[in-house]
Amino acid sequence: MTGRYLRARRVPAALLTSVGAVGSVMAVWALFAAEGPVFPVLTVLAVALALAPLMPTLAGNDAALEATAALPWPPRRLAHLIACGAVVTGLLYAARLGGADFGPAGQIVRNVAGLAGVAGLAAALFGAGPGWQAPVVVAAVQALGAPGGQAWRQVAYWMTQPAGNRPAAVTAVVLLLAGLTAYAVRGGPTPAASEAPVGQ
Amino acid sequence: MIAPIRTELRRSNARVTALLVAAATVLLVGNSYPYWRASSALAAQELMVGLSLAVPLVLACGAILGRREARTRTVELMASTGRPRWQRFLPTTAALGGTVTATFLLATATLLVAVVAGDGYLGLHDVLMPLLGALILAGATWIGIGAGRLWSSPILPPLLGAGTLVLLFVVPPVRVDGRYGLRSNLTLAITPGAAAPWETPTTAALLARLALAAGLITAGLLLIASRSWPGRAGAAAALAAGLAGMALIVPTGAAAKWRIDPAAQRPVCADGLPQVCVTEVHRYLLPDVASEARRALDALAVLPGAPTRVAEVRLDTVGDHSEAQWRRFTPDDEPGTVYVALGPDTSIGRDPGVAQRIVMGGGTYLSPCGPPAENAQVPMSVTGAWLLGTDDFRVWLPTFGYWLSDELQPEIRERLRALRALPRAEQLARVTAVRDAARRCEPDLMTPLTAGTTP
Repeated sequence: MTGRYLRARRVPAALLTSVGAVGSVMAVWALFAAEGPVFPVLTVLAVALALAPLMPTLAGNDAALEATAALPWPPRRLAHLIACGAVVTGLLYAARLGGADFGPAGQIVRNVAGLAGVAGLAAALFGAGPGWQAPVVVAAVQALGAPGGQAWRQVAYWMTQPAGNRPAAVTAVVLLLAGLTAYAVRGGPTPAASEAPVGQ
Repeated sequence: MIAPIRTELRRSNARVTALLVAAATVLLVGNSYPYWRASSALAAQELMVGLSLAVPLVLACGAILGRREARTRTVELMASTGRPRWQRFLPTTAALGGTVTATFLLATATLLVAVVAGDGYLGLHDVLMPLLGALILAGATWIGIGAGRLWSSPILPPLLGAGTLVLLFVVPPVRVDGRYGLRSNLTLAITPGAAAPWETPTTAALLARLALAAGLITAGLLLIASRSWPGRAGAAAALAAGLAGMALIVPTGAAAKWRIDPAAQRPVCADGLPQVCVTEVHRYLLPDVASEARRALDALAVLPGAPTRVAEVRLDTVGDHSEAQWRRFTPDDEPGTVYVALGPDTSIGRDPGVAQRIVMGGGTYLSPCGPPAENAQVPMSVTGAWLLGTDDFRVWLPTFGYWLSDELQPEIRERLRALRALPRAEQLARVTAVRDAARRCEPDLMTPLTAGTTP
């Protein structure tokens, strides 16, 4: 059952792509960069890069067909989004083994959780297909921010703040809860039947 | 051909893509409004930074449209019509490419209007950069469409978008041993950036981006039009050629990428006396600078041989982002003039340290001696505070922020109290001695301040 669910959502291919993406970043870092931790822009963008390929898996090929199944979907959606975040967190943390240090565990967890929340919100509002654009845009804007500053700046650029920054942590938690709730309850917009073969 | 393009505009994701480009540009460029508000060169540079987000987005949106066409067999449907091949793909490419290009040009026009409305400097040469940016955007859109038709996986758009974003933001700016290598030429915004607001891109820097635009457009059109591997290989070659052109046309280093715009450097003087002059690009700061500079000149007037005029430093070579660049005086330096480098604090939109920088060390802060030694900070600040009649001294430097650490303030206050405890004539003699020692490029300014050494 679980295997069929994962295949129906193209999880194996997405997972391989996500692993490959993080691997590519590690390779780029090893090739071009000096010693030491990965610089802040890359730590922010790597989260988006690892999460983006997993976003299309938040919906199946045919939402109308899935709706006919007598299954409690909200817990499954909840578990799916949390699993995506857990996979990305694990990948970025494991990158240390390859010499790419994406920051302290707390910072990685916070950034992945917040961006997964954005992904969940986007999937619920726009659908899993085009929804990946929201976390990518958010991450890109975050990458241009700087740590510190006034409280509103710490909230606006929460991904660039150091681990343990309270406004950034609160922002990430709020985004995660909003994303989890929206995605679990709504799932996504129901596309027209003619759109089903297109897949997004 | 207009009717099919209109149909494509309705059918495709052109409007959503335009919205994304507009949002990306507004988010990134709007955030730094105080920084670019008075200079078209800085505005153009910020637009190119915004392009670093827009290019991955349009690549991905193009891929969404391309894979949609592949999945719905639109290409086959169009192939069954009795039209030349170019007419089969023109509506799609024109609709999406035209929309994103028009959106970016509209954003450019909005920025330039904002610069003019803010009494800023508009250099027509600066407009060329965003125009090339619009072409780059069109080329990236078409490459996306071609890639989507080639591989219609739902993973392609997010991977293409996020992957390109990482490549654009991460690979080029990496410095090796503190120096920018050839990879720094692969940024859409010129790296390193302008070191002074009167700098404008060189022809070589513009040609490099033209090469990239030509490579992207050729690659995109080849990828969309060809149905065979030789055509796709040609697209890859065109893309590689564009990237190679971008990397190799312009040498690394700021001197090859930026040049001085004489019109932006033209001196503009405030009405009335004493004379206060700034460059054209800082004209919008003139009212505030003039009152602060005159306050500083009034304070300096107690010293023998005090300056009677303030002028903004103008560099005749491209800057290097160092604090020392402002000390390269030009041959037209005049005696009786105290020079000041200007740069607004972007958080408040004005330069808050003009008077302080003029009076530091009795008007010797910007001297050809080079940056003051570490131990000269306190005596220079004490003389500045004494001249302005303040109890402490916090001075703001353009691009570097506040010059003195808070730890030095207690010592400055203590030295100031000691100085003010002396007879007035002695106070004046010591401040004059500090100024004269600084003019002679002496490294120790504390001795004349504390021991009363006379020149």
